Amino acid sequence: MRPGGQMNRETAKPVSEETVLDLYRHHGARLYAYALGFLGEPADVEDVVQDAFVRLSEHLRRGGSDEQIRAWLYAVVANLCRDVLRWRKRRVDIDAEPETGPWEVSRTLAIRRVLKRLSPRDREMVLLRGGGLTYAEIAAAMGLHDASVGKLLSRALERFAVEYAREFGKEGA
Amino acid sequence: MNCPTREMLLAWVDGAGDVPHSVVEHIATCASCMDSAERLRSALAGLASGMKTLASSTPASLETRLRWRLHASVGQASATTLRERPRGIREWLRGHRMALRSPSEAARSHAGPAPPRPRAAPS
Repeated sequence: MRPGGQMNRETAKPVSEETVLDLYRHHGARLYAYALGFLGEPADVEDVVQDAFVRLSEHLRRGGSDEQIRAWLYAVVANLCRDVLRWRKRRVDIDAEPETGPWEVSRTLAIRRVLKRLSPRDREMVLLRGGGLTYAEIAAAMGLHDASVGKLLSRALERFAVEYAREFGKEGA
Repeated sequence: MNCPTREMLLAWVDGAGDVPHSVVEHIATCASCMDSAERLRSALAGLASGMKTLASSTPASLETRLRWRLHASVGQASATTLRERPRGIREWLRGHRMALRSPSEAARSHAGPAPPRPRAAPS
């Protein structure tokens, strides 16, 4: 067992920090993008991504499956983002844009505006699709039936496309 | 757009192989569907580039912070599950003490005690 590693109690497999950090290196940036699309505030996003990987570490240590780990991570990040949004609703103006950070990039800022015009579920689906998840992974991350993802995603993307065209004009990207 | 092929448009834009031939034919001849497909393609491209920009803005310091969080959570986890808890905690505390010391103290401690001087040979 590596120094600082954790012991999986049921299977007695080591779960080292490096294992979790390797997973972070593989999925972290995309999860960060996903949460940033959700929340917009980099400081909150950093906390959310960190929490997700700490939970992953606990999940693996308890003997949790590492199958569909990407969908599992997106589901955890989505839940944490929803918690942040609920907390913000009570505390601050949810529509307030951060003054600094990556949203200075005007195009990205505009995409964020487009996403904000969607319902939370549509936004989540669009962001999951933008993160490169398969239909099965989107279903797992959102707790949906595989069969219904195609229709729901299609509608969400259609609404996103309409808003996107409104924001950027027909030329779009 | 009210065409019956509406649900299949995303699959068609994605180039999925299982789109029925009748749908492909319809989209090719329907101005409204072609317009929607173009809009969808443009939005997907914008989304992909936006996600890339966001992903590239991930701060490098996040990995270091995560490493610390994981390290701290190991201490908590070992308090309840591991037999080797005392050693883990001691090591963890020793690491913290090292971090709190001044650099020169830490370097001295890292180097260990000074080796004993050789005794002078009896004359």
